[in-house]
Formats: sequence, C-alpha cells, structure tokens
Amino acid sequence: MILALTVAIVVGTMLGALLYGKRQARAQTVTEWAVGGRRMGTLIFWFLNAGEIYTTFAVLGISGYAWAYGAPAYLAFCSVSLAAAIGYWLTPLIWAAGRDRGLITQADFFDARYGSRALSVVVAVAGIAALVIYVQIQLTALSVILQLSLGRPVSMMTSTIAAAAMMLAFVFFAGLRSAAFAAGVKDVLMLVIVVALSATVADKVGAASIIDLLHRAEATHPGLTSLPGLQPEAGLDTTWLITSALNVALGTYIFPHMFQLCYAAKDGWTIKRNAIFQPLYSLSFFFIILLGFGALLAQVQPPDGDLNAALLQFVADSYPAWAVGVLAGTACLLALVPGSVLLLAAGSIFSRNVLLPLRPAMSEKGALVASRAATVGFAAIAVYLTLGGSRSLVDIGLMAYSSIGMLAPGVFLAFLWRRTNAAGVTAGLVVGYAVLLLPGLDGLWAFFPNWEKGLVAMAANALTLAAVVLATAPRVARAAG
Amino acid sequence: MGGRLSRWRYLLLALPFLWQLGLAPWANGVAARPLGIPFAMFWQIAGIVFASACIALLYWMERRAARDGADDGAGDGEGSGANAGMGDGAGGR
Repeated sequence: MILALTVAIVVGTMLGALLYGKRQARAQTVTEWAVGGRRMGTLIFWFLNAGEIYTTFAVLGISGYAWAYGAPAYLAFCSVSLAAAIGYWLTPLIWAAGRDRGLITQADFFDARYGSRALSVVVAVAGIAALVIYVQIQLTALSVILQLSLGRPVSMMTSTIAAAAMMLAFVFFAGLRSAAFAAGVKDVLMLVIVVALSATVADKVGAASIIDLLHRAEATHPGLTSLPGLQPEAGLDTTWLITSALNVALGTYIFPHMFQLCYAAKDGWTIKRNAIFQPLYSLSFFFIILLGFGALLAQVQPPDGDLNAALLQFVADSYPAWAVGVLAGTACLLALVPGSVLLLAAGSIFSRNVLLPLRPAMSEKGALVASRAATVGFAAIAVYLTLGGSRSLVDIGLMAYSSIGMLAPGVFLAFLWRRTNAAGVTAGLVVGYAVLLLPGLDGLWAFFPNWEKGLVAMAANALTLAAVVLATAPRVARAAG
Repeated sequence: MGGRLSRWRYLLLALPFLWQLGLAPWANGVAARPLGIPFAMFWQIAGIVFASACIALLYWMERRAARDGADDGAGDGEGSGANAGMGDGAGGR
C-alpha cells in the first residue's frame, strides 16, 4: 500500500513533467536544457525558485531539528525571507548580466566580469563541489524515505544507489521546464499534506488544539521553544542563529543552480515580483516545526535515533498506511526535483567551464552529451559521500552553504565595487577555503564562540579580496551615472 | 532610474535583517505568548510577513518610478547598472 502510493505519485508526476516539457520545447541546445531558453514567466519562475527552497532540507531536516533541538529550527523562518531581501537587489543584476553576455553558468559570469579563464575554472570546480554536497542532502533523505516505504530492511547502499538512479533518470529525460512542472506538483502536494497533518496532529498526540500542543511540548520539554533549545551543549544559541541565517541568506543565490535560475527569467520584473512572494512560502515552516514538536510529544523513536527520519517515523506510527504512502511519495519528489536541478547545473558547468576551455572545438551537441555524462559522475560522488556518514540534513545543508559562501564576495563585489579584480577574488578564495578547511585553527575559533564557521571564513575571504584589490588595482575614475 | 529613486531605498531591504536577526536576542527572552505561540517563534513568523511587506513596498516604488519615465526600458529593473559593472570588468582584460 505504502509502496504502491509512493510509486504512483513519483511516476505520475514524472510522466506529467515529461509531457509538459515535450509540449513546450525539445531540448536541443544547452541554453534550452539548462536555462529554459530564458523565457520563464512569473508563475513558473516562482515554482522553480520555491522548489529549490522547499526541499527535504526544509521539510525532513527542519522537522527533525525541531524534534531534536527545538527552537534552533527557527532558522528556517529567517533563511527564505532574508535571502529574498538580498535576492531582490542581487538577482536582477545577475539576470541582466546573463542576458547581455549570453551567460549560461555562474563560471561564465566570473569569466565575463573578471576576464580570467583560470578564475572561472576554479569557480566552476568550487560551484560543482557545493552542488555535490547539496545533492548529498537529497540522497540522504531519499534513502531514508526508500527504507521507510519499502517496509523491510533495505541496506543504505541499495537505497542510496536507487535514489541516485531515480534522480539521473529525471535529469536525462527532462530539462529545466519539466523540473518546473514537477516542482509545482510537489509543492502543492506538500502543502496539502502539511496542512492535513497539522490539522490532525493535536488529536494524534492527545492535545486539544495546536496551541495546546505547543503548551504541552514546552511543559514536558522545558526550554524547547526558546534558544538554545533542548541541547544547550550543542551551542545553538542566538549567536549561532544570527550568523547561520546571515550565511544562508548571503549564500542562497550564490549556489550555481540558483544563479543559473536567474538567467532563466523572462525579465527583471519577473524576478523582483518573485522576491515579494518568496518569503510567504516559508510561513509553512510553522506547521513543519509543529509536526516536529508533535513527534516529540508522541515520543517517536526513529531508527538509530536518526533525526532526519523523525517526521516520517511519526507519521508511520500515528497515521494510516495511505497517509504514509502519500507523504513518502511527495517526500521523494522533494528530493528528486531539486536534486535533478542540482545535477543539471553541475553537468552544464562542467561541460562549459571545465571541458570547453580544454577542447574549444566541441560542438553544441557534444557539449550536451558531455554535460549529461558529467552528471552521472557527480551523482556517483554524491552517493559515495552519502554512504560515508549519516548526519543531520540541516548540518549537511549548512556545510554546503559555507562552501558556496566562498564565491559570495566575488559576486557581490562584482556589482558593488568596480575595482574588484581577478587577483583579489582568487586570493580571497584561497584564504577563505583555508579558514574553512584547515584543521588546527582552534585559536581562531575561540574568538568566535558558536559562530557559523562559514560566515567567519566568508569575512576572511572578503577582507583578503579587499586588501589585494587595493594593492593591485589602479584607482579608476567613477563613471557618471 | 537612479535619478528618480534614491539609493537609500535599499535600506528597506535591511529592515528584515534588523527584525529577524538584530532583534532575535531580545525576542528570545520575551515571555509573552501572542495567540498562544511562544514569542521567539511568533517574532520570526511576523518577521516573514514584515520582510514581504518591505520588498513589496520597494517593488511598488520602483514600478511607479519606471512607469513615470517611459524611456526607462520597463522590465530591465536594475539592468543598466549591471551592464556598467560588466563592461568595466571586460575593459580591464
């Protein structure tokens, strides 16, 4: 029953998405496949954008965080609205640059703005690395879902590989337009499920109402609803919330797939309009956190204490099988759709910005083939990383944001400071990654207790960039206008 | 479009940060429960609506300014600014 419903939802949506994509246009070129031919209107653009925000990271990750820690899950409330505030200013600039220069990827942007092929290759590789970490989130979640819906012990290895295969199938037979359709379906389904679960959750855990549920959760778990939450020793206090939220907000549109998404819009107003409504989407996190608290009251025991599985286990324990099937199917889409967009972006970056500089004679058709072959390789790396260790989806997510945040100074300052040059951006990248990755910097971290490391590394990156630019770039006269 | 609208309008985009992050430490300590929702949570939820409102106001201001100046190439948003930046970079090659 559970499996049948899961499969029906996933296959049904995929077929619908394929039909929709076919009707729209056949992907013959990288431009069509990767940026939807640059003609996405408001509605479709909104679904694609929101689709990238409303992933397993948000639904399974945040409910799990609420279940395990409590108030630190409020991070979800800040992440979308603040990213939209930055995006309102930033994304139309990216869109315009893309239109004027015929850019397709993020590395193209660095190449065009800074005039350095070497820098653009480094940016391409850095972007792909962050995307692969993000795919790891989706694979981790998808394997949890598959293990639950198959109802019998399936090895992590089998479920992860199956998850990756599903994602690749979607990438190959679809393109950005199909993904937009599937994103719309999954968002509507998820919203219906979240509302339905929230309407019944109080009853399931013996509370009189949603408000009563909040009271009870707090009464049985003191400290749940204010920072630092249930596990003060984890260091998830207000400093953590502020620095993490800033890091996420600054990094959201720096992700290569989000950056690439900006190119796909029809015009600048489309993107700006999108920024108005994007935050409202995140109001639904109230219900997702509520469900996490519900799982806490119901004393859910997910397998191995895996907090990513808390919501699914809660539903499996308290709801009929058909509800579990619908949730599992929708959650599959939550992982598959964003995952395929991530792989799509990684593949196009690889063929354009790593391979093309090496083989300039490559045809458009050849580029498309190389792009697709690369996605298989990246999916394999993501599988390897996923099998390497089970961690909270939110933690992996914050890691991905820290990693992509290294490209943020080069993007923001491209628009803010004319003097910014390739030497500065490169030096910033080196120092930023060193701060982020080198062990033995305990002395440094002692100065920033509970800070998001990615934000500190981003600051070090930006300061280095500024210092190098001041030393190397000639002062330019400010152009009028 | 910079002629009609001040650059200061972008301060509207900073207000959500002030609300959701700047005042988060304060909100975390408030015991009141509006509508029965713990205050820290309520504050962030209200912050989302506030952020949308700030962005909507800015959009409305820019749309109005763009309509007033017919030659402004409606739909370009901040396009002209970006072109200047990009052109500058290419010139430095």
